[in-house]
Amino acid sequence: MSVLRLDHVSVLYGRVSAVSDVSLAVDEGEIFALVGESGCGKTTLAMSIMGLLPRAAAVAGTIEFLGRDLTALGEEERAALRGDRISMVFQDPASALDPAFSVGEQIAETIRAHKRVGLREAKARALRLLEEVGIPDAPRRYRDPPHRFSGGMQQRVVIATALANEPALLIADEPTAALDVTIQAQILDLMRELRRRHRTTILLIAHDFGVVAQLCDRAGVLYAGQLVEVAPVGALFAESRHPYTAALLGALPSAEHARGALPAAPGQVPDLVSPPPGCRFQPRCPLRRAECDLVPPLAPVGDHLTACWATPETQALGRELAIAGGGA
Amino acid sequence: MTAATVALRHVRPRELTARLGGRQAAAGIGILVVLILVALLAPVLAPHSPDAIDADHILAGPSWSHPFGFDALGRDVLSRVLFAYRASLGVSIGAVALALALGLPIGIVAGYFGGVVDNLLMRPIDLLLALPALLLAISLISITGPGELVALFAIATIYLPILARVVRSSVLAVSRELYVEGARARGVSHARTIWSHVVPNALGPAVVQASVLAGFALQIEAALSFLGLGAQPPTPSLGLMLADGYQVLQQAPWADIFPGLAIAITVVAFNLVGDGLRSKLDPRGISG
Amino acid sequence: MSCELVSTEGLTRDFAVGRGLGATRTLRAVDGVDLEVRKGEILGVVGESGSGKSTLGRLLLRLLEPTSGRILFDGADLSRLDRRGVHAFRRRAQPIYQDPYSSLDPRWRVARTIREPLDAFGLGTAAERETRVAELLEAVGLSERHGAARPHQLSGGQRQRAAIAAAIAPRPDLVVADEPVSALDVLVQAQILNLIASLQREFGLTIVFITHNLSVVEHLADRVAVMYLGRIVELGRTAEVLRDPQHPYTRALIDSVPHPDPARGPDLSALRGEIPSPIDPPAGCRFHTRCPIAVDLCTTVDPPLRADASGRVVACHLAQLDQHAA
Repeated sequence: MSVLRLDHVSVLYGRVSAVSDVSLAVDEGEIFALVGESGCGKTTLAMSIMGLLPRAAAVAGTIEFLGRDLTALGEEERAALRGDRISMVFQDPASALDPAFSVGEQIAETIRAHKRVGLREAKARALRLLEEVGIPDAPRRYRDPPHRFSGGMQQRVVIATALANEPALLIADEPTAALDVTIQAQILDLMRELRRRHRTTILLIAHDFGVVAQLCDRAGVLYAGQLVEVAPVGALFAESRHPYTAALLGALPSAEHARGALPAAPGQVPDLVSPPPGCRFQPRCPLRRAECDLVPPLAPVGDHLTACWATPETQALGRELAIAGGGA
Repeated sequence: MTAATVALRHVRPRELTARLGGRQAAAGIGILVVLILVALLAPVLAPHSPDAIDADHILAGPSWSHPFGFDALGRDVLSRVLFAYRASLGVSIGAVALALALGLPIGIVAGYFGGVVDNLLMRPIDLLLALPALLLAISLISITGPGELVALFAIATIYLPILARVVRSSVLAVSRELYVEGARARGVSHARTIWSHVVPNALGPAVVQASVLAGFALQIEAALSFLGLGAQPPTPSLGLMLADGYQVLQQAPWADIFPGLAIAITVVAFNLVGDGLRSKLDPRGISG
Repeated sequence: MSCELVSTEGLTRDFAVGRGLGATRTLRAVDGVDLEVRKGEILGVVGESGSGKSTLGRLLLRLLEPTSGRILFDGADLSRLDRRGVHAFRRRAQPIYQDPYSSLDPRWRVARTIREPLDAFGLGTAAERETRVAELLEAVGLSERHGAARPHQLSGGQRQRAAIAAAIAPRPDLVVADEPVSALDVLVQAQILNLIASLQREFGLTIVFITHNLSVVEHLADRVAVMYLGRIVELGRTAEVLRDPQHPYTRALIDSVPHPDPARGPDLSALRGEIPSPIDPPAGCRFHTRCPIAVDLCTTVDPPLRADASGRVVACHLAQLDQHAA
């Protein structure tokens, strides 16, 4: 069963088409990654699920969470879900924590904001959470303010806060991007462990393919607001079907390429005020063809879903849809 | 100065508005220009002498020939307001200009070089913060005798540490930007780095602060004049008129309201300039 | 033999922290670094936050004065230069920074920034400088239109290209690049790495490339120095160090990088604990608090840098080196 289902979701900021017609489903208990470069729309998608987009943003399509369409809910109902059924971990733990309250109080407060429990019970639970996320000497550190903790430890506290009400969905936006590699490895370990224990569904926003490969079950690749490929990570890294995914993976620096000869796709990410028609990757694409001026549908190709006219499956699906569309 | 004039010659009105910091600042600057003209042209504009006493019309109300009415000594309020702008604008703009002239270089040097230089320059400046303005004004009077200049110096002394601190902190922030270190690496001298990179990027907060302080200076000038430490009667100043008019507010509100309005318009104009510049000085707002 | 462009001896830099009330404490950001940078090489410097790698870079550019120790640049002691000597040195040693937004003056059009060093060093006539700016824009893949733009009108990649153009404008011998691609997306990063490599080849630049990203070092650097808490703990040819790290910290760093290949299995977090504060570094070997193989000796005795026959340098009591003195 899918915890989260996006159906033809588009987000417009004024004239900026930040997300364009994205459909995907995240299954219960899986870690699903949204990958892409900055400006690809991954954070906008996360914010539209949280209901935290600025007022100026217009969201089209449906966002179904546990069978309920979130876009149809009022602000109060959405606020009630946040921190309870859906919670979020941000990139910068220092700004996610209130400097004026102890870490323990912040977790207890999150619990009491959503559950009718006594102070003592909330405290006991907050303490258990701090222990669970690996804060050493948790009972003594319960009363410490955030600035007494290192970046890695702060991120553990943020994760504990996010898990406080056992959410059905945890959205993690680049949770390790601000951390040193040895600390990042510890946080990734923690997230794997928590997932094993609680079977929490996690939507991970990431740009680092290493993190995606080591943590996630499936991944969706976004380019300039369009979802171009979805696949289990094994299949994605073994054999990417979309030329953009291939370009991204190919451009990772390594000793395999001679110095100065990284296969870097030419050009740059398009301006989202007036993106190219059809597939937005087409101006940079080595496989560009005439059909690319139309938006390619996501078609199943083996384990993948790929939106590229250069694959026969997309071609076939495109013809099918055209016939169905013409008949309607 | 010349570069600015040359540039302005080719500018259409809408561009001029943009360069002056948007509609808000342009409106503020427009009002101030009018007020300064009023002050300068007061002898021409004023329908009567500001000092002429008409004993028959003490506290008389507004009429066609005396639209703002008369004050407690039977003087024309309109003419006095026009002349009062001379003392009031002179003191407020002069005080801010003096404080800027001293505070900018001190703040810039202290913020850019930091360390010992910072301490040597800023500690004495901080001492000024501890000096009560009134005591200062009184001690100045004992040297020079009372007058507008005393008010000007007293206000400048209050403002100097404020402006120097604002400049210092924004220069400190800008000096940490990599483009400043980069300029040093590119062989640019300290003086030139300060002039071409630090000052243009750090001046914004000081200019905004200065325009707000200029508005506030009118009120300090009023207080000083009220205590007899500023402009001396019969020289009209807005503060003095406000203080005098307050005594007769019940019988003759016009003697108080019009000087009050004059102060309010000026303060609003200075604040418009401040707010407008605040948004204008964000470099991301620069077009083209 | 003078194959090295820069060499440092016991280079040390302290910072005072905790100003204001209370006693000032000393943070030793760089601690007795001996390093040689060879002409024409790309030397990678890797380390985590607090390792002192950025401070080392600024010391090499003489943007910071060392507390003790010295730097020889092309044989000349940098601390003995007079004003003119420093000015001449600046032309030969240029920085590239991580954040191309804050490294370009937001009020200046890009072409003016690129021209700034030409003016400051008095290179060429006014007309020649104009031409040179156009050449430089082209060399980094920008057009005149980009030159006329202000930084906020450009993308991150374009801004970094402009910053690189300004850095190579005075034809330096040495470029110290501090995390120049860390703020960039993968495809842009690849473009900039290719650009740096091609400029290095074209102009025979010597580059000190400071980064936390081991993949970038693996791709680009001839040699790599690994720093931990202000010290170099290992230094050698990149391929050898990464294939067969001798220092346990280097090994942990390599193991911590999540590999973009799920088939390689999840990497277990190699290191427990946190990086200690450089204000109060551990006694003995600075790494012993996190080291998986530390013995008693490590907690008391600071391991010296030892070199083997191939030029690999390691500061670890337990490293097995071919003990040919170096």
